[in-house]
Amino acid sequence: MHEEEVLGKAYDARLMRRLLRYLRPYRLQVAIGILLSLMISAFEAVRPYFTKVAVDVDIAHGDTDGLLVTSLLFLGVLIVRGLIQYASAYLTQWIGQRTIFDLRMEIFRHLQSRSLRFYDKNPIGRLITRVTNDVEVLNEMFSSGIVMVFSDVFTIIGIFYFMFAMDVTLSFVTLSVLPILFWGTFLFRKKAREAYRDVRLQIARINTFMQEHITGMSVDQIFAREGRSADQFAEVNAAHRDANMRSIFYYAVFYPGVDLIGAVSIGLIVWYAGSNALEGTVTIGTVMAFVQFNEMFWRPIRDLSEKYNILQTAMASSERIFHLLDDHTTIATPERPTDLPKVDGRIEFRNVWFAYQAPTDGDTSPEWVLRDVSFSIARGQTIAIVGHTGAGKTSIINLLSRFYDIQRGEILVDGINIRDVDPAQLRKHIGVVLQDVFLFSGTIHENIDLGNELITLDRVKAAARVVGADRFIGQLSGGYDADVKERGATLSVGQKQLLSFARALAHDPRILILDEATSSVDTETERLIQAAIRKLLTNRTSVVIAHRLSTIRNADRILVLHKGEVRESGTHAELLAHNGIYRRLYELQYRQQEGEPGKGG
Amino acid sequence: MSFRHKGTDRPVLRDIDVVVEPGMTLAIIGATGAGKSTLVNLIPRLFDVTEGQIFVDGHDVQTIPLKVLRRHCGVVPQETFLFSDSISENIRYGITEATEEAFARAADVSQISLDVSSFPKGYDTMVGERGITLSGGQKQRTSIARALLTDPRILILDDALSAVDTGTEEGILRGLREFMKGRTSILISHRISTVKDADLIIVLEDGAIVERGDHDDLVALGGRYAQLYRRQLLEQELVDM
Repeated sequence: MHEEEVLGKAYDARLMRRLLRYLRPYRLQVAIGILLSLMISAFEAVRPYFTKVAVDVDIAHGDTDGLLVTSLLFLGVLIVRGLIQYASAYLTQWIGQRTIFDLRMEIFRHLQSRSLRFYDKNPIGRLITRVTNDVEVLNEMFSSGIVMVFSDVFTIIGIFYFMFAMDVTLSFVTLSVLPILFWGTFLFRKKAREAYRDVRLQIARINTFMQEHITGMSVDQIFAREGRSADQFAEVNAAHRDANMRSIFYYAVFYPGVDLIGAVSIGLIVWYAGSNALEGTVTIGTVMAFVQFNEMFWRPIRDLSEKYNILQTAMASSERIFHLLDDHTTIATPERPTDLPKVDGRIEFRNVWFAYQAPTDGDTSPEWVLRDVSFSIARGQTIAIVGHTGAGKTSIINLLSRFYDIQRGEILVDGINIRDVDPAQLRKHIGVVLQDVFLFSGTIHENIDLGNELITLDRVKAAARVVGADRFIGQLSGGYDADVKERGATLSVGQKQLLSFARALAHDPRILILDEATSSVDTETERLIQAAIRKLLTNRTSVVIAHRLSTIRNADRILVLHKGEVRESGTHAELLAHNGIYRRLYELQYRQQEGEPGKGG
Repeated sequence: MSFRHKGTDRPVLRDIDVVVEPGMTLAIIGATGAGKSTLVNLIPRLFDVTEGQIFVDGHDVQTIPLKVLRRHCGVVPQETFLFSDSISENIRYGITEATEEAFARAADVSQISLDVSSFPKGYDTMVGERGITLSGGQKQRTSIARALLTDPRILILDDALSAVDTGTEEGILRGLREFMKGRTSILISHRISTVKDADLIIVLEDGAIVERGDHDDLVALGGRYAQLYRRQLLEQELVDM
């Protein structure tokens, strides 16, 4: 069964305690809310009492002035009740909205601090469901659930109080149908829940079937299976229809059933009170009041069983949310981080071992992506990393910015282990330009300064000029204020890259990581990009995953990564002469760039 | 049996003219987007040609009833698609009844039988959302078994061994050669190792045939095929280093 389909227990004390903690900042408001609902219940329950007084006292004695006073009092009570109801509805929603605001913030902050390992395991869709749907379900519980439960319970108590105060025997007569009602409601809830679950299950089956058979339509056609697939679908479709019909049946029986029980109750009141009224022991007003009471307590009882459903879905949602919040995959910030306000830009990898799947107990040999990798880069140097697919190039980038923690060895920046530094501070010194340029919705200049207020518009423009992005930006309507739409869908691949170079340059990091894009661009853009890369790499320590021959040749040193190990290192000429892995990589990947305009370097 | 395809579907395929004799193996090689899949999809008429004709046994495919045509074509599509059902049901997908022998043979040739023997529930193992997740290679092998079980006269493997490691590929190809005796087969691949034993290899580029011949011819020709061959030798060397 799907994680989303699970219907848990209706009440789980552990979960409830944890949920109630979110109400804590608003405990005053919650207290007021409960007080207000108590008042509403009192005013609600007192209504039939006024009817009784009007009939038995005022009308029976022909006291028109008294009747007017009673009526005005009644009106006053109704007005006050309306005002309180307004305040109560507003307050409960207010509490609900604040609570889910807090919860969403907590989830978002929690997500921000997760290590990338976490995102490897959790599909985006599932996380979004947590932040939206599951939180929304809790909103329903916080706003209408908790306070309203008090309201319903108080109302029932209030009604009982007034009933018994008026006439004890008649109260028992009226309430004699209650056991039947409880039993009926219980049975209905159980059946309706089963039917509902069944309908959900059948819908899921229809969806899966449809999704599969539409995706696999060509398979159906190739194997000439259309007929049999249609038969299969007829089965699934019929099961869904039947489940729905069952569910409809229970509802169709329940509501008239409740009305019927209510009618029986009224019949009992009229029968008992009628015969006693003739004897004078029960007044007409009492009978009228009881008929009203009778109508009044069905609603809260029915409501309460509905709350049961809200509670049940809320428990399932909160369980999933808490499961998410209890995840501990983080990049740990050291308790006393070494302050690193400025860096020189020396980098050293010392016997680094790394696997994406952290080794678990009893699993001594995880799939190592990097094995015993050691190298160092002096400040201001450019080093190019080359290697075949799966050599571990991308992992080096991820490790340097500490998106993942390594299993063995050390990574040092300026001689300081990066584990001893606050990751946020470390990342401030590192500029990363990736193959896929991620543009946010916002203006061009916001996409370059990324909200850093220290970067002035002049600096943004200067950076764009240096990398040669100013020309196309100038042609956009609005220039630097032009909106980037749909993550830059209107910009070309080359333009997006130039933008990302401008972004890196404007932030002026001491360490630059560049993952060169492989996508081909026209010769003119290629020239621009090559010139921009040269300027970008000047005067800062750079690690480049190189795809351009020009970049490789301009690097101070080339590291050849193969199957997670550094196998060769040196300059282009040295490595070619060595006739090893680099030589073959060159033949495979770079040689055809030789002589190509712009790419040869 | 022979079929001739003289299609001109301007942007995707241009002036394709090729004859495959009964029992012959044709291999198609070429870059992504060269039109390889489109070409083979024209045979069971997943698309219709815009110009020219395709003949199977001398009959224009447009004149053969679709059901009959498709019953004789066993296709292993590039995108492996399995239904959320048991492995057995997935293999039997294209056929209502199959003998135990035929089933076992299809499973053996595709080598899915080796994987299945390690599953506790064997062929009743469910795949997909409510079952286990098969690896890419296992999915492809299931998909091959599915096509073989329909006992096709024409077998089309559209890059159907891409997720299978080279060692297993060798074994499957050996089994397939036996299975395909007397049947016509068409293989699409990026790998020279898959196509090198075919009777005829055509190299597609931008929807047109640029080279044709057998492996030795094409290597000797020194064109695209030879270049690809060299690159793959180099890659193999790299992997072994």
